[in-house]
Amino acid sequence: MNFFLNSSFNAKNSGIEHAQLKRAKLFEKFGEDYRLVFREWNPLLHFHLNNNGISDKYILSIFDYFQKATNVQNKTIRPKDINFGVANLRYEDEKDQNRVIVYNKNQIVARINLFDKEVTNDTIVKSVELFDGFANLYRVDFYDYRGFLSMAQWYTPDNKIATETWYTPEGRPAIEDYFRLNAQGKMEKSGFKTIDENGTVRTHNNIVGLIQEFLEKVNVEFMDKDHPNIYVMDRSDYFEEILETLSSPTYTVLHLHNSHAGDAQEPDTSIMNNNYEYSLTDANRYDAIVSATEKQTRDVKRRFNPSVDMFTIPVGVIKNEDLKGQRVPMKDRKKHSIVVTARVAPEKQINKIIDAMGMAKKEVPDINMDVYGYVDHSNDDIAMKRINASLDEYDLKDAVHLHSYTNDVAGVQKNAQLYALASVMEGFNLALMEAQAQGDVGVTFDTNYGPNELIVDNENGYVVDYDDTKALSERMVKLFTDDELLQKMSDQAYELSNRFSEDSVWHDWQQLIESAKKTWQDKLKTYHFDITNGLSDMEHNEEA
Amino acid sequence: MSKKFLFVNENIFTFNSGTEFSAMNRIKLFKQNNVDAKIVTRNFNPSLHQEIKKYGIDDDDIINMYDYFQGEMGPKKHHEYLRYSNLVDKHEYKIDGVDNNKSYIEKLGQRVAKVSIFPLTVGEIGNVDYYDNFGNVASRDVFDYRGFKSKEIYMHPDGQIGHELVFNKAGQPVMEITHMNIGDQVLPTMFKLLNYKGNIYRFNTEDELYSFFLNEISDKDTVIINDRPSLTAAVGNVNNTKHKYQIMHNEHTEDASQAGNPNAKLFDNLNPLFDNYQNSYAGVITPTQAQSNDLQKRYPKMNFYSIFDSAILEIHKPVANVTNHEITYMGRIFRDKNVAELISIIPAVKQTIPDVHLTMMGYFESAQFKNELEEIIKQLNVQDSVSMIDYKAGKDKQNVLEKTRVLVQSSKGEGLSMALIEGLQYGIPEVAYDVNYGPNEIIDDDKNGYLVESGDLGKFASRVIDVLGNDEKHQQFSNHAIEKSDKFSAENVMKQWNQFFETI
Repeated sequence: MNFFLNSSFNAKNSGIEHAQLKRAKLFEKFGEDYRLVFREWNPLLHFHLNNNGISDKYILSIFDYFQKATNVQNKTIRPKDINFGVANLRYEDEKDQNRVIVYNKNQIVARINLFDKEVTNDTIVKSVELFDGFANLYRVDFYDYRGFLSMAQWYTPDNKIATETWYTPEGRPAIEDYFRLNAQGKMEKSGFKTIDENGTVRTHNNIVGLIQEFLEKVNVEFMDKDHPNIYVMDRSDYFEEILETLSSPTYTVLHLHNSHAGDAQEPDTSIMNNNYEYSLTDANRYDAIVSATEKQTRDVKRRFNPSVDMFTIPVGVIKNEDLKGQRVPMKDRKKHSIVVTARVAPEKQINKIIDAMGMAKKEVPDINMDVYGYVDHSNDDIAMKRINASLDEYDLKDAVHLHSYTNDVAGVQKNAQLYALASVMEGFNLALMEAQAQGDVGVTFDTNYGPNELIVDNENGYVVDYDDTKALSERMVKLFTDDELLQKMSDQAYELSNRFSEDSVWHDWQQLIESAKKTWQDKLKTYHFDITNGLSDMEHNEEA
Repeated sequence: MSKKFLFVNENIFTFNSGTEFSAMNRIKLFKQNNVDAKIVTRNFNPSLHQEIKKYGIDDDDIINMYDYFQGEMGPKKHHEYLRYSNLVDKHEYKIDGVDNNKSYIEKLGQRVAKVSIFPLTVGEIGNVDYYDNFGNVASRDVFDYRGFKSKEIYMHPDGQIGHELVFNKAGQPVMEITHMNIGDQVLPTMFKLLNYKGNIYRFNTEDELYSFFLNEISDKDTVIINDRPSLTAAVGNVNNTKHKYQIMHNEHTEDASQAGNPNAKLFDNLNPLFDNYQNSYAGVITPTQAQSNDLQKRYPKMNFYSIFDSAILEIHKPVANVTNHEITYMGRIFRDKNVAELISIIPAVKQTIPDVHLTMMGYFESAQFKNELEEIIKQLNVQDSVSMIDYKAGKDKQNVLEKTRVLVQSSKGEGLSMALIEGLQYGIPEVAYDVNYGPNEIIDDDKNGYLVESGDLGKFASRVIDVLGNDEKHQQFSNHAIEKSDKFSAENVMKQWNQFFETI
C-alpha cells in the first residue's frame, strides 16, 4: 500500500496538501491504491477531502482508525436528535451565536453549537455542552460532520478538562487522554490510552505513541509480499522518528516540499530548513528521498551525499484534458497584464514585482497586474505594508488590483499574459506550473526551487538573477514591446507543460515503486510475523 | 399465591449486619416454601456474586440494579486470568508478578499499570490502575468477579473520582456517573442510562435510578419488602405496585426504654417513613408484637404486622459439654451496641472465674473505635481475657460458636436480636439486658439464660459467673435453649408469613 503522510486537511491548505491531492488523483487514474494518512483529529476531515474529490476509502485518519470510523454511513444530526434523557425540554435558538440552548423548566440542560456557516447553512450539530441536574458543566461532546459523537471532554468541578475520550460510532471508548498538573503545577496532557475491540489496553506517553501504535498495526495489516508498504512523508513530523524504528518492514520516503536549506539561495552552506533537519539528518535510515526539481536533487546530493535513492518527481500534474485544451492567443488576452495567484505573504515579495512594474511603466504605460490570494497578516501586516509602499512610490494604485482567493484560477490565468514571481524560496510552485499550462509567460528571480526550473530561460520566459528587480523589469518591457516574442514564448509555455503531464509524472512514480518492489523482497526475507500460537489459555476450562 | 416478593436492600457487603442476614435468611425460608422472592440490591459491587456464595445464596436469588442494566445477572461462567487476558498485549508489555495480590504492567522499564488480583481468586483480574506520565492514577478498570470489565473510573486531576462508565460484557457503556459539585462538595451528580430499551434516562441521584429500576422490575403482583430505612423514599416512589412494606430491624426510638412512649424521639432514619411516606406503604412489619403494639399506638392509621425477622432453618447439632470458660459476643462492634460494657464486666468475672475469656466477633464501626476498645482493655488489664476478632461467616463462625459457653449481649435496644436466635440453634445459654425489643422473646429468664435489667453491670457479671461456674446449670440451660429454638423454627416463622400473605 502507498501511504501519504500528513497532519491534517482543512478548508484552506498549503501547497503540500495540493500536491497530495494531485498525486492522489494520479494514483487513482493509474489504478494504484493509496491512503492519505492524517495524524490530527479533525471532525471535518472527510468533509473537506470529499469536497476535493477524495472518497472515504482513501482516507486513513489515525483517529478514525482507532475509532473504527474509517467507513461511516453519513448521517445528519440536528439539535432535536440529541437525547438528554430528560423530559419536557424547551429549545431556545440563539441565532447570532449559531447555537441552541436547551432547558428543562428553567434549568439549563445543554448548549448545542452548530457547524459554522462557512461549512453549511443547514442546522447541524457541531458540539454539545452538557450540564448535570446541579447545573455543573460536566462534559462537552464534539460531533464528526459525518454524524456521530466523536469526542467528549470531561470537566473538573473547577471547569478544566480532566479527560478526553474518543468513541467509536457505536459509543465504545477507543482513545483517552488525561490532563494533570505537571511538576511545575501546570495542567498538561499527561498520557494517552487506547482500548481496542478485544478490550486490549495500551498506554502512551503522548500522541507519538498513538501514531506508533497505528503504524505498527497498519503496516502489518497491509503487509503484502507483492506490494511494498511505501510511506511518503509529505509532512514528516513524528512519522520520521517512528518509521526509522518500526518493527516490521517499510519502504520509507522523505518527500521534500521545500528547500532543504534555510536560505534557499545558499543551499550548500546555510543552516538546514528546520522542517527537514531531523529527517534529512537521518535520511540514510529511510529508503529514498524525493524532491520536486532536478536542481534540488542535485543540491541535496552534493551537500549530504546520501546513500539512499533520490528521485525527482514533480509535485504538480497537469491533466491530459488541460494539455489538450483550447489555446488562447496573446492578442486575445488582457493587454500588458500580469497575474499572480498566491498568498500575499512576505516571502512572496509581491512588492518587488510592483517595483519592477514601476520601472517598466515608462515604456509600457498600461502595464497592469491582478493578484488573487489570501492576505497573510503576520508580522504586523508587513507584506501589505510593503506592497502599499511600492504602489505609492510608483503610483500604481490603479494598475494593480488585489483580489481575494479565487476558485477560478485557470480562468484568470487564461486571461493574463505574464505570470511573475519574486519569491525568496519555493518548493515547486504549483501556481506557476498551472499558469504555464494556460500559456502564461513566466518571469522570475532565480529562486530555488521550482521557478528557475519551471521557467526555462529564453524558452517559455525569463529567469533573472536573484533579487535583480531591474532585470525583472527589463524582461517585462522586452515581452510587452515584442508581440511576436510574447506569442512564441507562450507557445513554448504550452509545449513545455508536457513535462508535467499525467503520463510523465506517473512514469516518475513508477520508478520509485519499482525500486521499492526490488528491495521489498529482501526486507521480507528477514521479517517474521509475531508468534500467535500457544499464547492462549489452554489449562482452564470455561464453565458451561 | 401469584405474588412475587422483592426484598429491597442496599447491598450484600463483605461485612454484613442483621439487616442483610435477615433478608438472606428470609429468602432461604421463602425458597423452602416455594414462594417466589428475590433480594434486590442497589450498590455497585464487583464482589456481589462472590460474597453471596459465602451465605448460600444463589445467583438467581438476587437482582442487583447494575447487573440488571448491564444485562449480566447470571452466575460466574468465566475466569479472567491476568496472564491470559486480552487486556494485556504481551508482545509489547511485560507482566511483572509482584505477589499473589498484585502485578505491574511494564513497558521499556516504565510501569504503566498496576493490576490488583481479585480477592480470593488465583490470578484473576480485580482492579487495574493506569498511570499517567506524572505517576497519577488517571483511570481504573473495575472487573467483576464473574470475569469481565464492569466499570471504568476516571479520576479528577486531584485524585477524586471524576466520572464512571459502567459497561456491558461486550464493552459497550450502559451507564455514566458523574461526580461534580453539590454546593462545595464533590459528589455523584448524575446517573445516566445510555441505552435502556432504546432510550436514555438521566437521574440526579442513585436512589432516583433505584426507584426507576424497582418500577421496571415490578408489576401489580409484586410485593416489595424494604429492609433499609435509608431506602424508604426510593421504595416509596415506586408506582407499579401498591404492595410495599417497610420492615424494621431495630427499635424505633433513640432511647429504647422509651419505645412505648408515643412522643419519644424517633431515630432520624425513620422520619421519612412516618412523616412523608406513610401513605406510600401498605404496612410496616416489625419483628416483635410488642413493637407493633407500641407503633400502632403512635401511628393509628398505619398497618403493622409482626413477624420474626429471622428463622432457624436448621438446628445445629447441640454442643454438649462445653466445659471451657469462653463467652462470646457476636454482632456489629459498634458504639450503639454498647459493647464496651461487656469488657468492663470481665475484671469482676475474673475474680471468680480466673480463666474467663471473652471473644468479640464482628466488624468494627471504625479503626478509631477499635482503638478505643483496645485502650479500655489495656486500662482494665484484661488483655489476656479479651480477644477481638474480625467478622466471621460460615464454618469459621460455627467454630467459634461451638466453643462458646455463654453468649452475651449488652445492647440497650434491639429489633429482635438475630445473634441470640442463632445462639439457640447451638444450645448456648445467653445473658442479655432485658431491653426493647427481643431478648425477652428469646431468653426465658433462668431457663435458657438470664435477662438482666439494663445497665446493671454487677448483676450481668454475676449471671455470667452463674452459668460459667455451674456445669449442671449450663447443661439445663442448653437443653432449654434447643427447646426454645422451636419458637423461631422455619415452620413457625413461615406461619407468621402465611398469615401476613392473607392480608395482602
